[in-house]
Amino acid sequence: MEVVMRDVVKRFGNFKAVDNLNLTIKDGEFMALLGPSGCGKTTTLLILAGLYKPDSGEILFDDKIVNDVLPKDRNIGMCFQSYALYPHMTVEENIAFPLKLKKLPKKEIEKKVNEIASKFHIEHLLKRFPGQISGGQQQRVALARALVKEPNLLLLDEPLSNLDAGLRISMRAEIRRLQKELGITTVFVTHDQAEAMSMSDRIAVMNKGKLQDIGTPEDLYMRPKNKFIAGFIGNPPMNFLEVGYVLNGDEIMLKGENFELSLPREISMNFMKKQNNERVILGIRPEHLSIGIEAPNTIKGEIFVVEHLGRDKLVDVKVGNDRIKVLTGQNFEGKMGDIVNVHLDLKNIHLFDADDGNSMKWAG
Amino acid sequence: MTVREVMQMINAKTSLSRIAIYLLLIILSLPIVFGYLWLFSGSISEEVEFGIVPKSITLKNWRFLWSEITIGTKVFENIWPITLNSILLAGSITLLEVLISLLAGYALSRMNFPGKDFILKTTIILHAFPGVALLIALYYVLNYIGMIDKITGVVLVKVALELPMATWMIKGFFDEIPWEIEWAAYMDGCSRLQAWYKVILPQIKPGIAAVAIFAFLAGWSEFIYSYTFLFSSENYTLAVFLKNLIGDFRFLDYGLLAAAGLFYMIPVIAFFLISQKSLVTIKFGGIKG
Amino acid sequence: MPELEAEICENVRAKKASMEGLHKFLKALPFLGPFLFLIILFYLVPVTLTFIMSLTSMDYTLEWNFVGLENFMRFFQDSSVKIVIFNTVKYVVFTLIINVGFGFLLAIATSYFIRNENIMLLFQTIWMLPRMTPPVVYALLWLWFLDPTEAGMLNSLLGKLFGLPAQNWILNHPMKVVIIANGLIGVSLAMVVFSASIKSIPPDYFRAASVDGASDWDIIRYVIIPFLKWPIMFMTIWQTLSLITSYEYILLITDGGPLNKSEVWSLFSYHKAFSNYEFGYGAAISMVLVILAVIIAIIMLKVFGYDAIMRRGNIDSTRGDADDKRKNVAF
Repeated sequence: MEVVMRDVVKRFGNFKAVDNLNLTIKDGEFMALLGPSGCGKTTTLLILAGLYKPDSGEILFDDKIVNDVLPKDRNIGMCFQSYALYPHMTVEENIAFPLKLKKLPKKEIEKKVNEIASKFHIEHLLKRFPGQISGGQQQRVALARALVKEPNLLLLDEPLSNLDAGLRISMRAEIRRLQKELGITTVFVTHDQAEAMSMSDRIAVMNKGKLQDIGTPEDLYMRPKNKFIAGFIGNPPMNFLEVGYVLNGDEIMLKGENFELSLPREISMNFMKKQNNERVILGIRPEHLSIGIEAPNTIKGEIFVVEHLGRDKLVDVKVGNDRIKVLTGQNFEGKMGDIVNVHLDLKNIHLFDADDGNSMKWAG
Repeated sequence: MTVREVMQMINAKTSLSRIAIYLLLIILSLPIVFGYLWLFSGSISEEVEFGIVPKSITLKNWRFLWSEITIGTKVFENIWPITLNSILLAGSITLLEVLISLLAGYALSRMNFPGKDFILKTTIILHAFPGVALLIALYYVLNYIGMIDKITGVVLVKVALELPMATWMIKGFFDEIPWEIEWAAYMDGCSRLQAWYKVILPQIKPGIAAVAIFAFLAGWSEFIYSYTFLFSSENYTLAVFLKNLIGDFRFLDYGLLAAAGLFYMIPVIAFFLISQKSLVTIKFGGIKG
Repeated sequence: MPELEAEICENVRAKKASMEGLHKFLKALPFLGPFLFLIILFYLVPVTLTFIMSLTSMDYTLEWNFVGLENFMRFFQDSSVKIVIFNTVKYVVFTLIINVGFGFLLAIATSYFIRNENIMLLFQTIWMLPRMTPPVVYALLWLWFLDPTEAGMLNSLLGKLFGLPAQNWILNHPMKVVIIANGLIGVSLAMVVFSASIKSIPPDYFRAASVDGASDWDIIRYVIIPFLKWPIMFMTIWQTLSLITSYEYILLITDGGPLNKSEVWSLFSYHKAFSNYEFGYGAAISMVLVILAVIIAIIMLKVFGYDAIMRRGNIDSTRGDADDKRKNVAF
């Protein structure tokens, strides 16, 4: 089923939780709604569910406006962060509940419950109550309950955030595989960028009620449209340095507190032009930085701390009042207090407008 | 480690002060225990020794159950219609209180409407505000609506005065149920009504039971409104009956008073036995996890 | 004129919002109806009536004869008023001391010193008894306990143990009897509230104190009492409120007597109305109480907030974040 949101606005008092949202989710697509807490992503999900009514705008399911369709008539499966299993019903009764409400014959209910239970490996838990099973098991039950009625749309509200780290990773893969298997259109809300990156076909990034950008994980990572997305996606996050902008012929000069970078022509031409001496934000990911010998176009700094990540080392370098993170190999030998030269992979730098945070890269 | 265990550790060496505490507690609690022991032994004996030791067991004190009580030429009412009145009073109070507070508690917890905050705040002030201060005006109101000297009138007054607290309790139980569960019910295909009785109500059953028990006991123990608003003897409740009995038999027959008092106490005693038992089950249930 | 347009837009929205508000209220009305009806009929109407009645000389005929402030003038000239006020103050203060003080001691004894859960439960149950007992039976127990003849528990005990002669306790010490009898009623409430507060103290505080070598006394002084500060304050105000307006037990045990020796304000109003049938005068007397009660209730609401009052002093409960308050459904 294709889902379209058109100019959707939702207010709580004077607070705009969702601000003019336009979003199309293709049939069979796995779409993540990503953003920090309070960005309106869960509200968006609840609007899709029909639990909240938008103040204005339209929701379309396969070209039909569903604004006034009650949740129970939308045929949506939903899985909540807290799982929201009914504590007074057994696992079996929980899963059977949507089917019972549909007044399916008893035999059929039993068959469907058993089928889905075996798919989720919870057959042995059917007679237990939600309070008697583990968090991971509750999660499976919640998914089974959401999927048993074969919904047209699956909504997942942070379904993994209450699981411990190991289980979370394995569930990621499992949900992803199941979704592809069933081919069910899915909207997945999360604040964890790694989760969104690893699971979804496309990601819609939201902040303060507004859609920031939408694209494939790779798109968003490689070509962030603004500073917010650049900082939100990727771990460790992108480094930002405020610098002065000087256009010298075709070459851009970036002037920091105690460093100067000049971007060669072929790189400079990727960026929109600015007034000389305007402030811009230089963004670069830790993996595009390295530590080496003194040379032009490097940044000198003092090692503040070295973090061991296992495979890599993350070196925190103090540059003036700023700190930048550099991802280095396991064999890096620098110590706290060493003066080092940070090399930048200029092909991978980003520039953002200091005022509105938009990327200065030419679109396309 | 629980608080208790920590305290055990801390107090390991202070057993002397513990003994002192125990002694103090026992001495302070003795008069209360004596009072209730007397009620029991006094009701089944001709005479009591040291206040609580029964001497020459008799059922004579319980005669009010099968015969009329007389003093001089005065004949007291038969206890059974009066007991029925009390049951009726307490039962109606319970039913109305639970029903109305369930409705209002749900609205105050789960619905959004203008004036909600005002109602909530007023409810609190009313709850802190004892209704007995309004007795005179209540008398006038009851008289005006033709409910004076009627059990229904007392029921309505009592329900109204207990409502703020009951409603707030019920609202609290509704508040405890996460919205996600209600939402899940809608997603699973429930209408608002179905979600309410299939998903929400079953979860607050223990809360409803608690409110009902307290409402019943409050109705059963109710004295001042029955005493003030009921004058015809056919409308008397056990509280009023006992009060009259005390007035006449105070210096004559404590055995009779003890028996009547004990009879009146039966629901309260039952409550204590049940709640003790449920407390124990909760404790053992806790071990299971 | 974009401002004007915006203003019109805002107006339209406000109008729409108020229509929607009415609609929402009407939706809630079936649920709230019975509740509001009873509250208005038996709280708001009586409060107003009490005020109006206080300006009349209404008697058992229930006729409205307005007399202005005469009732209040009379009140200040009434010779028994002085003793009634004095009694009320004495009653409230000393009963409070028993309530809060005893409640505090019992809470510490049962939830700090006694380690056995069952014994604790036993003592707490015993102290719950007076509160759960119907007032008439509770009064009966006191009447028997203090009976002026040798049949009375106290007289027979004192006689047998110390050879003291029997005396009429209620006649000789009416205020003391009233205070102690009422005191024991409130103890259990204070005990339960304080016990819950003690149990909610994080165990780390006790661990830290014991590591620092604190004695029991130190722990009570520096750990428990600071935690109980708010509950104690709450309990004091709450009990003051219920004590100034309650008279059920006094009515049953001494009925304000002998003479006016144990008559308190609220009972005085009751007697004027229902013994003398001076409804107007009685209303004037309780009017003062009604105003006092409302003021105290509002102060409590301001100082302690919603939850504390409804859960009787359970102050450290933190429920319902801002996000939660917003949650609802649209239909």
